[in-house]
Amino acid sequence: MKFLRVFTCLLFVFLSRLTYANNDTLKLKQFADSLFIVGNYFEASVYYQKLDFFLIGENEKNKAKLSAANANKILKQYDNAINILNAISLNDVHDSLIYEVKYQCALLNYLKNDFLQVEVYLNQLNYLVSDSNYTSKSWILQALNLNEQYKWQAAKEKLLMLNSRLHKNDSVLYKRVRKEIDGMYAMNQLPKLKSASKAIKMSSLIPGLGQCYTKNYGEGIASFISVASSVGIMAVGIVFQFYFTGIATGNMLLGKFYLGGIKRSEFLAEKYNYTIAKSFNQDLKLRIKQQFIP
Amino acid sequence: MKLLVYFSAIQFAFFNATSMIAQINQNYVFINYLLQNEKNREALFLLNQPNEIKNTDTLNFLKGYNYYLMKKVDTAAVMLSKVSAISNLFSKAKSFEILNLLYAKKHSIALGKFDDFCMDTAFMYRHVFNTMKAGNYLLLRKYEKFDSLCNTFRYDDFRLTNEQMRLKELSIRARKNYSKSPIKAALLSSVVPGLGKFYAGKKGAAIASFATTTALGLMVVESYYRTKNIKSPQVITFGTLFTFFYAGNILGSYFSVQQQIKSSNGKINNEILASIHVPIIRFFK
Repeated sequence: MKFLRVFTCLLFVFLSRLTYANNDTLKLKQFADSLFIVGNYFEASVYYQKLDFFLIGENEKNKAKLSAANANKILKQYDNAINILNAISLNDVHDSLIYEVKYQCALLNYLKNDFLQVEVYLNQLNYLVSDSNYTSKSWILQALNLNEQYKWQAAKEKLLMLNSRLHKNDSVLYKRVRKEIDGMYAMNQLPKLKSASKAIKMSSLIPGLGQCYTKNYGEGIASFISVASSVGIMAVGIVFQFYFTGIATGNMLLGKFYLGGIKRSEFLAEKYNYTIAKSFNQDLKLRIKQQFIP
Repeated sequence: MKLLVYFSAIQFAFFNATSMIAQINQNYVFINYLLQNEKNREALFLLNQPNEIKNTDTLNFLKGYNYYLMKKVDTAAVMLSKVSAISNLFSKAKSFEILNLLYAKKHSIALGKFDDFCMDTAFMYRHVFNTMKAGNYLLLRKYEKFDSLCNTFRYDDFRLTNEQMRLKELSIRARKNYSKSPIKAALLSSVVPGLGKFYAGKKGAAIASFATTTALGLMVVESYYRTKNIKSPQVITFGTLFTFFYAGNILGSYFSVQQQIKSSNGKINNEILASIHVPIIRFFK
Protein backbone atom coordinates (compact mmCIF):
# COMPACT_ATOMS: atom_id res chain seq x y z
CA MET A 1 0.00 0.00 0.00
CA LYS A 2 2.86 2.32 0.92
CA PHE A 3 4.57 1.54 -2.37
CA LEU A 4 1.34 2.36 -4.26
CA ARG A 5 1.13 5.76 -2.55
CA VAL A 6 4.74 6.64 -3.38
CA PHE A 7 4.24 5.45 -6.96
CA THR A 8 1.06 7.58 -7.32
CA CYS A 9 2.91 10.63 -6.00
CA LEU A 10 5.84 10.16 -8.38
CA LEU A 11 3.53 9.57 -11.35
CA PHE A 12 1.61 12.74 -10.52
CA VAL A 13 4.81 14.76 -10.34
CA PHE A 14 6.17 13.27 -13.56
CA LEU A 15 2.95 14.03 -15.43
CA SER A 16 2.88 17.60 -14.14
CA ARG A 17 6.51 18.08 -15.32
CA LEU A 18 5.72 16.64 -18.72
CA THR A 19 2.63 18.79 -19.13
CA TYR A 20 4.63 21.84 -18.11
CA ALA A 21 7.36 21.17 -20.69
CA ASN A 22 4.87 20.61 -23.51
CA ASN A 23 2.90 23.68 -22.52
CA ASP A 24 6.10 25.68 -22.48
CA THR A 25 7.10 24.97 -26.09
CA LEU A 26 3.49 25.30 -27.20
CA LYS A 27 3.29 28.71 -25.57
CA LEU A 28 6.56 29.69 -27.20
CA LYS A 29 5.26 28.65 -30.61
CA GLN A 30 2.01 30.54 -30.13
CA PHE A 31 3.95 33.59 -28.97
CA ALA A 32 6.30 33.45 -31.99
CA ASP A 33 3.34 32.98 -34.35
CA SER A 34 1.51 35.94 -32.83
CA LEU A 35 4.61 38.12 -33.25
CA PHE A 36 4.89 37.02 -36.88
CA ILE A 37 1.23 37.79 -37.55
CA VAL A 38 1.49 41.33 -36.20
CA GLY A 39 4.61 41.93 -38.29
CA ASN A 40 7.31 41.80 -35.59
CA TYR A 41 9.48 39.59 -37.77
CA PHE A 42 12.79 40.06 -35.95
CA GLU A 43 11.27 39.15 -32.59
CA ALA A 44 9.38 36.26 -34.20
CA SER A 45 12.63 35.00 -35.76
CA VAL A 46 14.35 35.02 -32.34
CA TYR A 47 11.54 33.04 -30.71
CA TYR A 48 11.36 30.56 -33.60
CA GLN A 49 15.08 29.96 -33.13
CA LYS A 50 14.52 29.52 -29.41
CA LEU A 51 11.73 27.07 -30.16
CA ASP A 52 14.01 25.15 -32.49
CA PHE A 53 16.66 25.08 -29.75
CA PHE A 54 14.31 23.63 -27.13
CA LEU A 55 12.26 21.23 -29.25
CA ILE A 56 13.28 17.60 -29.40
CA GLY A 57 11.37 16.19 -32.40
CA GLU A 58 13.24 16.63 -35.70
CA ASN A 59 10.05 17.39 -37.61
CA GLU A 60 8.99 20.17 -35.24
CA LYS A 61 12.52 21.56 -35.17
CA ASN A 62 12.56 21.78 -38.98
CA LYS A 63 9.23 23.60 -38.97
CA ALA A 64 10.61 26.12 -36.49
CA LYS A 65 13.71 26.59 -38.65
CA LEU A 66 11.60 27.17 -41.76
CA SER A 67 9.52 29.76 -39.92
CA ALA A 68 12.67 31.52 -38.64
CA ALA A 69 14.10 31.55 -42.17
CA ASN A 70 10.85 32.96 -43.50
CA ALA A 71 10.93 35.78 -40.94
CA ASN A 72 14.52 36.55 -41.93
CA LYS A 73 13.55 36.53 -45.60
CA ILE A 74 10.92 39.19 -44.94
CA LEU A 75 13.51 41.20 -43.00
CA LYS A 76 15.82 40.90 -46.05
CA GLN A 77 18.41 39.16 -43.88
CA TYR A 78 19.07 36.70 -46.67
CA ASP A 79 22.37 35.31 -45.38
CA ASN A 80 20.85 34.62 -41.96
CA ALA A 81 17.91 32.86 -43.59
CA ILE A 82 20.24 30.73 -45.77
CA ASN A 83 22.32 29.77 -42.71
CA ILE A 84 19.20 28.71 -40.82
CA LEU A 85 17.95 26.64 -43.78
CA ASN A 86 21.32 25.00 -44.26
CA ALA A 87 21.19 23.80 -40.65
CA ILE A 88 18.25 21.54 -41.56
CA SER A 89 19.41 17.95 -41.89
CA LEU A 90 18.22 16.44 -45.17
CA ASN A 91 19.09 12.82 -44.48
CA ASP A 92 16.16 10.43 -44.92
CA VAL A 93 13.52 13.15 -45.18
CA HIS A 94 10.58 13.54 -47.52
CA ASP A 95 11.06 15.20 -50.92
CA SER A 96 8.76 18.04 -49.86
CA LEU A 97 11.23 19.18 -47.18
CA ILE A 98 14.26 18.90 -49.48
CA TYR A 99 12.33 20.87 -52.10
CA GLU A 100 11.32 23.54 -49.59
CA VAL A 101 14.87 23.99 -48.24
CA LYS A 102 16.66 24.01 -51.58
CA TYR A 103 14.03 26.12 -53.31
CA GLN A 104 14.04 28.71 -50.51
CA CYS A 105 17.86 28.82 -50.56
CA ALA A 106 17.80 29.35 -54.34
CA LEU A 107 15.13 32.03 -53.99
CA LEU A 108 17.07 33.82 -51.24
CA ASN A 109 20.19 33.83 -53.41
CA TYR A 110 18.12 35.14 -56.31
CA LEU A 111 16.89 37.96 -54.08
CA LYS A 112 20.46 38.86 -53.18
CA ASN A 113 21.48 38.72 -56.87
CA ASP A 114 23.87 35.80 -56.45
CA PHE A 115 22.80 34.00 -59.61
CA LEU A 116 25.57 31.39 -59.62
CA GLN A 117 24.50 30.22 -56.17
CA VAL A 118 20.89 30.02 -57.39
CA GLU A 119 22.09 27.63 -60.07
CA VAL A 120 23.97 25.56 -57.47
CA TYR A 121 20.89 25.19 -55.25
CA LEU A 122 18.59 24.44 -58.17
CA ASN A 123 20.99 21.75 -59.38
CA GLN A 124 20.98 20.26 -55.88
CA LEU A 125 17.18 20.37 -55.90
CA ASN A 126 17.01 18.55 -59.24
CA TYR A 127 19.52 15.96 -58.05
CA LEU A 128 18.05 15.29 -54.60
CA VAL A 129 14.33 15.48 -55.34
CA SER A 130 13.05 12.59 -57.42
CA ASP A 131 9.38 13.67 -57.53
CA SER A 132 8.92 15.72 -60.71
CA ASN A 133 5.85 17.43 -59.21
CA TYR A 134 8.25 19.29 -56.95
CA THR A 135 11.06 19.94 -59.42
CA SER A 136 8.65 21.45 -61.93
CA LYS A 137 7.64 24.03 -59.33
CA SER A 138 11.15 25.46 -59.46
CA TRP A 139 11.15 25.97 -63.25
CA ILE A 140 9.91 29.56 -63.06
CA LEU A 141 12.80 30.45 -60.75
CA GLN A 142 15.16 28.57 -63.08
CA ALA A 143 13.88 30.55 -66.04
CA LEU A 144 14.21 33.86 -64.19
CA ASN A 145 17.74 32.94 -63.15
CA LEU A 146 18.69 31.99 -66.70
CA ASN A 147 17.34 35.35 -67.87
CA GLU A 148 19.65 37.11 -65.41
CA GLN A 149 22.57 35.15 -66.84
CA TYR A 150 21.63 36.27 -70.38
CA LYS A 151 20.76 32.63 -71.31
CA TRP A 152 17.44 33.53 -72.87
CA GLN A 153 17.10 30.48 -75.12
CA ALA A 154 17.52 28.10 -72.17
CA ALA A 155 15.01 30.18 -70.17
CA LYS A 156 12.52 29.91 -73.04
CA GLU A 157 12.89 26.12 -73.11
CA LYS A 158 12.21 25.94 -69.37
CA LEU A 159 9.05 28.03 -69.71
CA LEU A 160 7.87 25.90 -72.65
CA MET A 161 8.38 22.78 -70.53
CA LEU A 162 6.40 24.39 -67.74
CA ASN A 163 3.64 25.35 -70.16
CA SER A 164 3.35 21.79 -71.47
CA ARG A 165 3.13 20.49 -67.92
CA LEU A 166 0.64 23.01 -66.61
CA HIS A 167 -1.69 23.28 -69.56
CA LYS A 168 -1.53 19.83 -71.14
CA ASN A 169 -5.29 19.38 -70.74
CA ASP A 170 -6.26 22.79 -72.06
CA SER A 171 -5.04 23.12 -75.62
CA VAL A 172 -6.43 26.65 -76.09
CA LEU A 173 -4.63 27.98 -73.05
CA TYR A 174 -1.51 26.04 -73.97
CA LYS A 175 -1.43 27.62 -77.43
CA ARG A 176 -2.05 31.10 -76.05
CA VAL A 177 0.75 30.85 -73.48
CA ARG A 178 3.11 29.29 -76.01
CA LYS A 179 2.46 32.17 -78.39
CA GLU A 180 3.16 34.60 -75.57
CA ILE A 181 6.44 32.84 -74.69
CA ASP A 182 7.50 32.84 -78.34
CA GLY A 183 6.70 36.55 -78.47
CA MET A 184 8.73 37.25 -75.32
CA TYR A 185 11.82 35.50 -76.61
CA ALA A 186 11.53 36.33 -80.33
CA MET A 187 14.99 36.71 -81.85
CA ASN A 188 14.36 40.31 -82.87
CA GLN A 189 13.23 41.10 -79.30
CA LEU A 190 16.36 39.78 -77.58
CA PRO A 191 18.87 42.46 -76.57
CA LYS A 192 21.96 42.64 -78.75
CA LEU A 193 24.82 42.45 -76.33
CA LYS A 194 28.20 44.01 -76.93
CA SER A 195 31.37 41.96 -76.67
CA ALA A 196 33.86 43.40 -74.17
CA SER A 197 36.81 41.75 -75.92
CA LYS A 198 35.68 43.20 -79.24
CA ALA A 199 35.50 46.67 -77.66
CA ILE A 200 39.05 46.23 -76.30
CA LYS A 201 40.38 45.18 -79.70
CA MET A 202 38.66 48.11 -81.42
CA SER A 203 40.04 50.62 -78.93
CA SER A 204 43.51 49.14 -79.26
CA LEU A 205 43.36 49.55 -83.04
CA ILE A 206 41.81 53.01 -83.20
CA PRO A 207 41.50 54.93 -79.92
CA GLY A 208 37.86 55.77 -79.19
CA LEU A 209 36.41 53.16 -81.58
CA GLY A 210 35.57 50.79 -78.72
CA GLN A 211 33.60 53.53 -76.97
CA CYS A 212 31.72 54.29 -80.21
CA TYR A 213 30.94 50.53 -80.53
CA THR A 214 29.23 50.70 -77.12
CA LYS A 215 27.28 53.73 -78.38
CA ASN A 216 29.19 56.28 -76.30
CA TYR A 217 30.08 58.47 -79.25
CA GLY A 218 31.03 61.56 -77.23
CA GLU A 219 33.50 59.61 -75.14
CA GLY A 220 34.88 57.91 -78.24
CA ILE A 221 35.59 61.23 -79.96
CA ALA A 222 37.11 62.68 -76.75
CA SER A 223 39.36 59.64 -76.39
CA PHE A 224 40.52 59.92 -80.00
CA ILE A 225 41.25 63.66 -79.62
CA SER A 226 43.20 63.05 -76.38
CA VAL A 227 45.42 60.40 -77.96
CA ALA A 228 45.89 62.49 -81.10
CA SER A 229 46.82 65.54 -78.97
CA SER A 230 49.42 63.48 -77.12
CA VAL A 231 50.98 62.44 -80.41
CA GLY A 232 50.72 66.07 -81.54
CA ILE A 233 52.62 67.31 -78.47
CA MET A 234 55.34 64.79 -79.18
CA ALA A 235 55.55 65.84 -82.84
CA VAL A 236 55.59 69.58 -82.01
CA GLY A 237 58.35 69.01 -79.46
CA ILE A 238 60.48 67.19 -82.02
CA VAL A 239 59.83 69.77 -84.76
CA PHE A 240 60.82 72.67 -82.48
CA GLN A 241 63.83 70.71 -81.19
CA PHE A 242 62.44 70.34 -77.66
CA TYR A 243 63.28 66.65 -77.94
CA PHE A 244 63.24 65.63 -74.31
CA THR A 245 60.20 67.74 -73.34
CA GLY A 246 58.20 66.63 -76.37
CA ILE A 247 58.97 62.93 -76.12
CA ALA A 248 58.63 62.71 -72.32
CA THR A 249 55.36 64.68 -72.10
CA GLY A 250 53.85 63.10 -75.23
CA ASN A 251 54.74 59.58 -74.15
CA MET A 252 53.38 60.05 -70.66
CA LEU A 253 50.07 61.47 -71.90
CA LEU A 254 49.81 58.93 -74.71
CA GLY A 255 50.28 56.03 -72.32
CA LYS A 256 47.65 57.35 -69.94
CA PHE A 257 45.02 58.19 -72.58
CA TYR A 258 45.60 55.12 -74.79
CA LEU A 259 45.57 52.50 -72.00
CA GLY A 260 42.83 54.34 -70.10
CA GLY A 261 40.68 54.38 -73.26
CA ILE A 262 41.07 50.62 -73.69
CA LYS A 263 40.03 49.92 -70.10
CA ARG A 264 37.16 52.37 -70.37
CA SER A 265 35.80 50.69 -73.52
CA GLU A 266 35.74 47.32 -71.71
CA PHE A 267 33.87 48.86 -68.79
CA LEU A 268 31.41 50.61 -71.10
CA ALA A 269 30.64 47.35 -72.95
CA GLU A 270 29.85 45.61 -69.66
CA LYS A 271 27.76 48.57 -68.47
CA TYR A 272 25.85 48.63 -71.76
CA ASN A 273 25.09 44.89 -71.50
CA TYR A 274 23.99 45.23 -67.88
CA THR A 275 21.68 48.18 -68.57
CA ILE A 276 20.03 46.74 -71.66
CA ALA A 277 19.62 43.24 -70.15
CA LYS A 278 18.25 44.63 -66.91
CA SER A 279 15.40 46.52 -68.54
CA PHE A 280 14.65 43.56 -70.85
CA ASN A 281 14.63 41.11 -67.92
CA GLN A 282 12.42 43.41 -65.89
CA ASP A 283 9.85 43.33 -68.65
CA LEU A 284 10.20 39.54 -68.99
CA LYS A 285 9.71 39.12 -65.25
CA LEU A 286 6.39 40.95 -65.38
CA ARG A 287 5.18 38.98 -68.40
CA ILE A 288 6.19 35.63 -66.87
CA LYS A 289 4.40 36.61 -63.68
CA GLN A 290 1.23 37.42 -65.67
CA GLN A 291 1.32 34.06 -67.47
CA PHE A 292 2.28 31.65 -64.70
CA ILE A 293 1.59 33.19 -61.30
CA PRO A 294 -2.09 33.68 -60.58
CA MET B 1 -4.55 10.31 3.20
CA LYS B 2 -4.18 13.88 4.40
CA LEU B 3 -0.46 13.37 4.59
CA LEU B 4 -0.43 12.08 1.04
CA VAL B 5 -2.22 15.20 -0.23
CA TYR B 6 0.25 17.47 1.60
CA PHE B 7 3.17 15.48 0.28
CA SER B 8 1.87 15.66 -3.30
CA ALA B 9 1.26 19.39 -3.04
CA ILE B 10 4.79 19.97 -1.74
CA GLN B 11 6.24 17.80 -4.48
CA PHE B 12 4.18 19.66 -7.11
CA ALA B 13 5.39 23.03 -5.86
CA PHE B 14 8.96 21.77 -5.68
CA PHE B 15 8.94 20.45 -9.22
CA ASN B 16 7.29 23.57 -10.58
CA ALA B 17 10.00 25.62 -8.90
CA THR B 18 12.71 23.39 -10.35
CA SER B 19 11.04 23.67 -13.76
CA MET B 20 11.19 27.45 -13.52
CA ILE B 21 14.85 27.31 -12.54
CA ALA B 22 15.45 24.89 -15.38
CA GLN B 23 13.70 27.29 -17.74
CA ILE B 24 15.91 30.18 -16.61
CA ASN B 25 18.97 27.96 -17.05
CA GLN B 26 17.69 27.01 -20.48
CA ASN B 27 17.40 30.71 -21.33
CA TYR B 28 21.02 31.14 -20.24
CA VAL B 29 22.06 28.17 -22.37
CA PHE B 30 20.13 29.51 -25.37
CA ILE B 31 21.67 32.99 -25.06
CA ASN B 32 25.11 31.38 -24.81
CA TYR B 33 24.28 29.42 -27.96
CA LEU B 34 23.35 32.67 -29.72
CA LEU B 35 26.61 34.29 -28.60
CA GLN B 36 28.67 31.37 -29.82
CA ASN B 37 26.94 31.53 -33.20
CA GLU B 38 27.58 35.28 -33.57
CA LYS B 39 23.86 36.06 -33.36
CA ASN B 40 24.55 39.11 -31.24
CA ARG B 41 21.50 41.13 -32.24
CA GLU B 42 19.22 38.28 -31.25
CA ALA B 43 21.10 37.75 -27.97
CA LEU B 44 20.86 41.44 -27.14
CA PHE B 45 17.15 41.44 -27.84
CA LEU B 46 16.62 38.54 -25.40
CA LEU B 47 18.89 40.08 -22.79
CA ASN B 48 16.77 43.22 -22.88
CA GLN B 49 13.60 41.22 -22.23
CA PRO B 50 12.45 41.01 -18.62
CA ASN B 51 12.31 37.50 -17.12
CA GLU B 52 14.84 35.97 -19.53
CA ILE B 53 17.75 36.15 -17.06
CA LYS B 54 16.83 36.97 -13.48
CA ASN B 55 20.28 37.18 -11.91
CA THR B 56 21.57 40.76 -12.32
CA ASP B 57 25.25 39.79 -12.34
CA THR B 58 24.71 37.12 -14.98
CA LEU B 59 22.60 39.55 -17.01
CA ASN B 60 25.24 42.28 -16.83
CA PHE B 61 28.00 39.85 -17.69
CA LEU B 62 26.15 38.47 -20.70
CA LYS B 63 25.28 41.97 -21.90
CA GLY B 64 28.88 43.09 -21.50
CA TYR B 65 30.22 39.99 -23.23
CA ASN B 66 27.72 40.46 -26.05
CA TYR B 67 28.78 44.10 -26.52
CA TYR B 68 32.41 42.95 -26.50
CA LEU B 69 31.61 40.51 -29.31
CA MET B 70 29.82 43.33 -31.13
CA LYS B 71 33.03 45.39 -30.73
CA LYS B 72 31.21 48.08 -28.72
CA VAL B 73 34.07 48.22 -26.26
CA ASP B 74 32.99 51.24 -24.20
CA THR B 75 29.51 49.86 -23.49
CA ALA B 76 31.00 46.40 -22.86
CA ALA B 77 33.38 47.81 -20.24
CA VAL B 78 30.53 49.65 -18.50
CA MET B 79 28.30 46.55 -18.39
CA LEU B 80 31.11 44.28 -17.22
CA SER B 81 32.07 46.73 -14.46
CA LYS B 82 28.55 46.26 -13.01
CA VAL B 83 29.21 42.59 -12.14
CA SER B 84 29.51 42.49 -8.36
CA ALA B 85 32.48 41.01 -6.49
CA ILE B 86 30.33 38.27 -4.95
CA SER B 87 29.48 36.82 -8.34
CA ASN B 88 31.20 33.71 -9.71
CA LEU B 89 31.65 35.61 -12.93
CA PHE B 90 33.57 38.47 -11.29
CA SER B 91 37.14 37.48 -12.34
CA LYS B 92 36.02 36.75 -15.85
CA ALA B 93 34.04 40.00 -16.07
CA LYS B 94 36.91 42.07 -14.67
CA SER B 95 39.45 40.58 -17.09
CA PHE B 96 37.20 41.27 -20.06
CA GLU B 97 36.49 44.76 -18.70
CA ILE B 98 40.24 45.46 -18.67
CA LEU B 99 40.53 44.13 -22.21
CA ASN B 100 37.67 46.33 -23.41
CA LEU B 101 39.17 49.36 -21.70
CA LEU B 102 42.45 48.69 -23.50
CA TYR B 103 40.64 48.47 -26.84
CA ALA B 104 38.90 51.74 -25.92
CA LYS B 105 42.40 53.26 -25.37
CA LYS B 106 41.67 53.89 -21.68
CA HIS B 107 45.00 52.42 -20.64
CA SER B 108 45.39 54.19 -17.29
CA ILE B 109 41.87 53.25 -16.13
CA ALA B 110 42.57 49.66 -17.17
CA LEU B 111 45.71 49.61 -15.01
CA GLY B 112 43.69 50.74 -11.99
CA LYS B 113 41.22 47.88 -12.45
CA PHE B 114 43.82 45.28 -11.43
CA ASP B 115 43.41 46.51 -7.84
CA ASP B 116 39.77 45.33 -7.84
CA PHE B 117 40.78 41.67 -7.76
CA CYS B 118 40.87 40.07 -4.32
CA MET B 119 44.23 38.91 -3.04
CA ASP B 120 43.57 35.24 -3.69
CA THR B 121 42.60 35.82 -7.32
CA ALA B 122 45.49 38.23 -7.82
CA PHE B 123 47.89 35.60 -6.49
CA MET B 124 46.35 32.73 -8.43
CA TYR B 125 46.48 34.59 -11.74
CA ARG B 126 49.61 36.67 -11.01
CA HIS B 127 51.45 35.53 -14.16
CA VAL B 128 48.51 36.36 -16.43
CA PHE B 129 48.00 39.69 -14.74
CA ASN B 130 51.71 40.50 -15.02
CA THR B 131 51.58 39.76 -18.73
CA MET B 132 48.48 41.94 -19.11
CA LYS B 133 50.05 44.75 -17.11
CA ALA B 134 53.29 44.52 -19.10
CA GLY B 135 51.28 44.81 -22.31
CA ASN B 136 49.42 47.74 -20.83
CA TYR B 137 52.67 49.58 -19.99
CA LEU B 138 53.97 48.81 -23.47
CA LEU B 139 50.86 50.43 -24.93
CA LEU B 140 51.65 53.47 -22.79
CA ARG B 141 55.30 53.19 -23.97
CA LYS B 142 56.50 53.10 -20.36
CA TYR B 143 59.51 50.94 -21.05
CA GLU B 144 60.99 50.94 -17.52
CA LYS B 145 57.85 49.51 -15.98
CA PHE B 146 57.48 47.10 -18.88
CA ASP B 147 61.07 45.88 -18.39
CA SER B 148 60.59 45.40 -14.65
CA LEU B 149 57.45 43.28 -15.30
CA CYS B 150 59.25 41.44 -18.08
CA ASN B 151 61.82 40.29 -15.53
CA THR B 152 59.05 38.40 -13.70
CA PHE B 153 58.21 36.32 -16.83
CA ARG B 154 59.13 32.69 -16.27
CA TYR B 155 58.27 31.33 -19.74
CA ASP B 156 57.21 28.02 -18.21
CA ASP B 157 53.44 28.18 -18.83
CA PHE B 158 52.58 27.16 -22.39
CA ARG B 159 49.44 29.31 -22.19
CA LEU B 160 51.54 32.44 -21.78
CA THR B 161 55.01 31.79 -23.20
CA ASN B 162 54.33 32.77 -26.82
CA GLU B 163 52.59 36.01 -25.84
CA GLN B 164 55.29 36.95 -23.32
CA MET B 165 57.99 36.45 -25.94
CA ARG B 166 55.92 38.37 -28.47
CA LEU B 167 55.59 41.32 -26.06
CA LYS B 168 59.38 41.42 -25.63
CA GLU B 169 59.85 41.40 -29.38
CA LEU B 170 57.23 44.15 -29.78
CA SER B 171 58.95 46.33 -27.19
CA ILE B 172 62.14 46.19 -29.31
CA ARG B 173 60.15 47.14 -32.42
CA ALA B 174 58.36 49.97 -30.57
CA ARG B 175 61.66 51.44 -29.37
CA LYS B 176 63.12 51.21 -32.88
CA ASN B 177 60.07 52.85 -34.46
CA TYR B 178 60.94 56.33 -33.21
CA SER B 179 64.49 56.20 -34.62
CA LYS B 180 63.31 57.62 -37.98
CA SER B 181 63.09 61.40 -38.20
CA PRO B 182 60.68 63.32 -40.47
CA ILE B 183 63.14 66.23 -40.66
CA LYS B 184 65.93 63.93 -41.81
CA ALA B 185 63.59 62.61 -44.51
CA ALA B 186 62.79 66.15 -45.69
CA LEU B 187 66.50 67.03 -45.82
CA LEU B 188 67.31 63.89 -47.78
CA SER B 189 64.57 64.71 -50.28
CA SER B 190 65.90 68.21 -50.74
CA VAL B 191 69.31 66.78 -51.69
CA VAL B 192 68.05 63.96 -53.95
CA PRO B 193 64.32 63.99 -54.79
CA GLY B 194 62.70 60.76 -53.58
CA LEU B 195 65.50 59.83 -51.17
CA GLY B 196 63.36 60.85 -48.17
CA LYS B 197 60.60 58.51 -49.27
CA PHE B 198 63.16 55.74 -49.74
CA TYR B 199 64.29 56.42 -46.17
CA ALA B 200 60.63 56.17 -45.07
CA GLY B 201 60.50 52.71 -46.65
CA LYS B 202 58.35 53.63 -49.67
CA LYS B 203 60.55 52.44 -52.51
CA GLY B 204 57.97 52.66 -55.29
CA ALA B 205 56.95 56.21 -54.37
CA ALA B 206 60.64 57.15 -54.12
CA ILE B 207 61.36 56.00 -57.68
CA ALA B 208 58.21 57.76 -59.00
CA SER B 209 59.14 61.02 -57.25
CA PHE B 210 62.71 60.86 -58.49
CA ALA B 211 61.62 60.20 -62.09
CA THR B 212 58.99 62.97 -62.16
CA THR B 213 61.16 65.64 -60.55
CA THR B 214 64.20 64.76 -62.67
CA ALA B 215 62.12 64.78 -65.86
CA LEU B 216 60.71 68.19 -65.00
CA GLY B 217 64.21 69.45 -64.14
CA LEU B 218 65.52 68.23 -67.50
CA MET B 219 62.62 69.99 -69.24
CA VAL B 220 63.61 73.27 -67.55
CA VAL B 221 67.23 72.76 -68.62
CA GLU B 222 66.19 71.96 -72.19
CA SER B 223 63.86 74.98 -72.34
CA TYR B 224 66.65 77.27 -71.15
CA TYR B 225 69.14 75.66 -73.54
CA ARG B 226 66.84 76.28 -76.49
CA THR B 227 65.58 79.76 -75.63
CA LYS B 228 68.61 81.13 -73.79
CA ASN B 229 66.17 83.29 -71.89
CA ILE B 230 65.29 82.60 -68.30
CA LYS B 231 62.05 84.59 -68.62
CA SER B 232 60.78 82.63 -71.63
CA PRO B 233 57.27 81.08 -71.18
CA GLN B 234 58.69 77.56 -71.56
CA VAL B 235 61.24 78.06 -68.76
CA ILE B 236 58.67 79.73 -66.51
CA THR B 237 56.07 76.98 -67.11
CA PHE B 238 58.39 74.04 -66.55
CA GLY B 239 60.27 75.89 -63.81
CA THR B 240 57.03 76.44 -61.89
CA LEU B 241 56.05 72.82 -62.33
CA PHE B 242 59.52 71.66 -61.23
CA THR B 243 59.43 73.89 -58.11
CA PHE B 244 55.96 72.68 -57.26
CA PHE B 245 56.97 69.01 -57.53
CA TYR B 246 60.33 69.55 -55.79
CA ALA B 247 58.78 71.33 -52.78
CA GLY B 248 55.87 68.90 -52.70
CA ASN B 249 58.29 66.00 -52.63
CA ILE B 250 60.12 67.47 -49.61
CA LEU B 251 56.85 67.96 -47.74
CA GLY B 252 55.66 64.54 -48.84
CA SER B 253 58.79 62.89 -47.43
CA TYR B 254 58.30 64.67 -44.09
CA PHE B 255 54.69 63.50 -43.81
CA SER B 256 55.58 60.03 -45.12
CA VAL B 257 57.87 59.38 -42.18
CA GLN B 258 55.34 60.88 -39.76
CA GLN B 259 52.59 58.70 -41.23
CA GLN B 260 54.85 55.66 -41.23
CA ILE B 261 55.61 56.12 -37.49
CA LYS B 262 51.88 56.49 -36.82
CA SER B 263 50.80 53.45 -38.84
CA SER B 264 53.65 51.32 -37.54
CA ASN B 265 52.71 52.33 -33.99
CA GLY B 266 49.13 51.33 -34.74
CA LYS B 267 50.29 47.93 -36.01
CA ILE B 268 52.47 47.39 -32.93
CA ASN B 269 49.60 48.39 -30.63
CA ASN B 270 47.26 45.96 -32.38
CA GLU B 271 49.78 43.17 -31.91
CA ILE B 272 50.21 44.09 -28.23
CA LEU B 273 46.43 44.00 -27.78
CA ALA B 274 46.35 40.57 -29.43
CA SER B 275 49.08 39.38 -27.05
CA ILE B 276 46.92 40.50 -24.11
CA HIS B 277 43.71 39.20 -25.64
CA VAL B 278 44.89 35.63 -26.22
CA PRO B 279 45.83 34.82 -22.58
CA ILE B 280 42.53 36.32 -21.35
CA ILE B 281 40.63 34.02 -23.69
CA ARG B 282 42.77 31.04 -22.63
CA PHE B 283 42.36 31.65 -18.91
CA PHE B 284 38.92 33.18 -18.53
CA LYS B 285 36.64 32.21 -21.43
